[in-house]
Amino acid sequence: MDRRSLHLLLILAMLAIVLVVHLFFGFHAADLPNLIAALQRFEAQSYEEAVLLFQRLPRTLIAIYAGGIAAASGFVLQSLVRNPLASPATLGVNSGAALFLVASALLFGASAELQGIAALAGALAGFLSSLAVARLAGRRNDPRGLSLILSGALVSMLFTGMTNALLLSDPARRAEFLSWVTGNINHVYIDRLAMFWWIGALSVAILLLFARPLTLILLGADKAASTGVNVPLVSRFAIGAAVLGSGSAVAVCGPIGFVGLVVPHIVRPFMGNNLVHALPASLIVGAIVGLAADLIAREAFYPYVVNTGLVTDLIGGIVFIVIVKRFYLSPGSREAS
Amino acid sequence: MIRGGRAIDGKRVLRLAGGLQMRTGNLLAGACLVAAALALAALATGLGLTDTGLADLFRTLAGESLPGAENYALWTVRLPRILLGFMVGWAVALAGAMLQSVARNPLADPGLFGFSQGSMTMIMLLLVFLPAAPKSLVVLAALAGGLTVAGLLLWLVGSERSSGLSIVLMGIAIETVLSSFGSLLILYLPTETSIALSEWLAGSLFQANWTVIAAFAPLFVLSLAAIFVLGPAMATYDLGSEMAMALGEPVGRSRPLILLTAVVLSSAAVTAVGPLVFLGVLAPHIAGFLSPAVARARLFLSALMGGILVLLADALTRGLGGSLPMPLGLSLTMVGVPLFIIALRLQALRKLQSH
Amino acid sequence: MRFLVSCAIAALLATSPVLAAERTVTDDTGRKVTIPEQPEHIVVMHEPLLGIPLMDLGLDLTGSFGRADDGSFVIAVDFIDTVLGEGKTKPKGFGPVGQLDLEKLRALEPDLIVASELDAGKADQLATVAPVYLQNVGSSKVYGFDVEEDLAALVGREDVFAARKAAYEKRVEDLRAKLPFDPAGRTYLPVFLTDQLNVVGDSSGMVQALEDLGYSRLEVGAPSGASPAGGSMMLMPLSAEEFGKLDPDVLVLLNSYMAGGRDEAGTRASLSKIVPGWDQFMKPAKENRILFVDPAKVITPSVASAEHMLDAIAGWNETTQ
Repeated sequence: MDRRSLHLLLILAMLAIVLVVHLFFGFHAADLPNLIAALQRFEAQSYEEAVLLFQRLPRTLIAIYAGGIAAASGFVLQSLVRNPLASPATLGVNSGAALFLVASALLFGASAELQGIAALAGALAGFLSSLAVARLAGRRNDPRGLSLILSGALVSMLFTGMTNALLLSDPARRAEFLSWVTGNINHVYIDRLAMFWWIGALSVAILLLFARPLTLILLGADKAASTGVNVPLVSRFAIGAAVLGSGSAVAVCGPIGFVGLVVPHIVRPFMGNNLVHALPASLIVGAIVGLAADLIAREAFYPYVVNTGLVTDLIGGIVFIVIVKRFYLSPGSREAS
Repeated sequence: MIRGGRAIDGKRVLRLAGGLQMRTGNLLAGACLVAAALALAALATGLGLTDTGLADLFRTLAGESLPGAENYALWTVRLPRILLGFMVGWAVALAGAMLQSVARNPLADPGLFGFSQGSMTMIMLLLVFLPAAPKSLVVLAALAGGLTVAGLLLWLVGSERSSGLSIVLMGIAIETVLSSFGSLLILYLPTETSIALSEWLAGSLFQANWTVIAAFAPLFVLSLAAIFVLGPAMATYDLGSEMAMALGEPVGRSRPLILLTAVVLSSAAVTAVGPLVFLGVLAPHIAGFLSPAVARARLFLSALMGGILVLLADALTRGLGGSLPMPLGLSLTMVGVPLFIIALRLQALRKLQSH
Repeated sequence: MRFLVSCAIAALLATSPVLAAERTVTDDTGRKVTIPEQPEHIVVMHEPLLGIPLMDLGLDLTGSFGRADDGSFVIAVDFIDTVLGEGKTKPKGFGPVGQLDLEKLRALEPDLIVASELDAGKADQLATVAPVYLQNVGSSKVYGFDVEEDLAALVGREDVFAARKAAYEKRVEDLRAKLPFDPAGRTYLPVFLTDQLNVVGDSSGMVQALEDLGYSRLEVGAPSGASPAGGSMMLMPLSAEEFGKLDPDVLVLLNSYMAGGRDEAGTRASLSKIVPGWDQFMKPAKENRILFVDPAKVITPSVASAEHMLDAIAGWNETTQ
């Protein structure tokens, strides 16, 4: 069994452990047999069972979905944009999706399904805006696609500001969306998961399908073209799938940031750059991070809860600083000014 | 002793006694922008509920007195907004232009570096714990916030040999952490406080009055001095900090000085009006399209453009009559982004034509 | 001659607006403000928190922040209708929230502007139009309908307030007599439902009514006794898991203004989305100790809201008999 398969098994085991902890943390050991039985027959006969089935389980599912998709998207974006700072949160995807969803709800009174479609459109709009603004910097002094990150940050700030202004215009509905906008994993949003999960599944399927061609493109567009890969088509399809997948995650529980930025960096040292191995690993590690963040959000201030999105933002921001320091400020990577 | 001539690259210049040399292209652009600013200001005096405008303004200047409502509208509401709006736009655009030279990237913006976020976080904390704090304390807090971020940035980025882009990236990282802290506050404070914070984040010229203008005016004068003194350094920074050092620029001293100026300008703007996202990028780029300039001229034109954009945004906000909520930040986006796209397109066309 | 002169001076003084009955007061943030003795044209910056108490004292408001220019309301709930009844004249607006239009404000010609301590930053600008009085409304600083009491002292309607309060207290006594149990020593927990569970603060008529009857608030804290992070300033939502285990003697549920209805059915549906199975497993639910209240009626810090709360309790009492 080679090293990478071993790693894969290890992280699968970790996922199982984190899953169990996330579901069962805080329950008395004596209740466990009843709880597991309740899971199997999907019916609650006591309050603890109701908590397990209708609060913990939905949170688990949403956390896995949001975390896994964000991580997979992040890995693909980082590979294609060739920048270690690319992710749905930093390229305007999350903020675009949030803005369009809030706008559709507040300005047009859209139903939940329409809001989801708006979120997908917004994800694309955010990404395309970042691209458009990045073109301003030109290619001359931009060897690492850094201008895309800058423009992504600017576009994110802009879209977040617009979302803020929209929410302010309607103080009553503001309360409805305020906690969603910072990323809220909660049973209330489980029906959204039921509506949109197939988008994420489709996007992950596409990305896994394209894992090999994408790896070839990563090694060099010319090399990839010479082996018969249709580079523009595959790149665009993959980016589109990544962006739309993240958009659907935002549609469910609001923007959960930084999982897509951090997880690829955790995965890459162990699985290398080959997407065939790294992409499934990213999915799994993303799910683990999502579950861990949700666990912290749920239990850190018991009996009060914090939004999961805030936990990922705060921790992710600090990790962002570490990544910048490591990649851009270490002596080995000092670029010529 | 003003003589015309040609510079080394063939463009026309005006030469003054004392060695100062200005490109006519830049002069023309500058004159146009100044005229546009004045025209906009004149137009803006007429926008709003009360029926008054430029004519009434001249009448008061000539010594007549106006009835209460018109006088109030003109002198207490509109003129302060116009003046402060222009100065704030000027400050933010200038800070952006300076940062873009230092970072060698057209996308650098005070907001991107985290300076305005630092000021904002401090002001928000103050609003939460001491809502009745005097204005001077608010200003100090904003300045402290901006300077803390600048200091953090310089400490994290390290020596003077690091590249400009690394400063920007570190700035984004800091900005993200601070803004998530801001989200925390907005989410968990009681509704009224939360709405007050959000209102402030959306940007507004509501606080414009003669006291604030009087406080801002010295900064404006200082910024003119800064343009004059730091302007030439911008041209060398555009070549990169190593090249700049080779050309004799004291990078170790002047880079912190430029950062400090940018911080002071953006903190002051944030205190007065709230955060104006993207303006620091929009204005220099649009000005650059009108007339590609370096050094002092670039700073000057960018600042003018920034002031004009804010005037336009304010005109939009007041002209809509207030039935649709349009905070300053939003109207700035709506005014600036189309201009930005047009400028991008025309610039691309121009590049195509010149090949 | 001197008589005529003094008559003229007296006439001048009588018509001079400067010397019309005024007094200097210190507002809740320590500012000294000179306000008219009997303000006639009052403008408020927060209608539910400041406007409703004033209207409950019998005053008519000239302006209210957040309304449209003609007085119609752009947001979901019109508190004047819900708390004080339909048919009242609505105050006019001067700009949507976040975009105060000073010219419109001046056009309303107010003689007093009442704002909250959170508007301290705006006070200087507002003062160019009319004297500004800042009233504390924050949950940690005021209780029940203290806001109405403070404002009554401000506008010279203490007698009106005293009468309202006396009538209200009589109702409290009557209701207490009617209740089959003694509320003293019993606990209550008020929860506002959005997409999470938010415990309601202290400054509302609802809380006043409940505590005057004798109920006391159920303290929700970690088993170790730690209080929520940030003290009473930060209001983090309550964990849904913990909520299901709580057992206040009466659970008061209020549905948010947007989520499908503030009646009992709507509130039940809302809570089921957040905590599915609550009606099967929560003790207050099984023993019918839940009070469904319309927040639009009881959340303002006014005597009217407290009376609505008494109505709700009386109604609940009857249905559970």
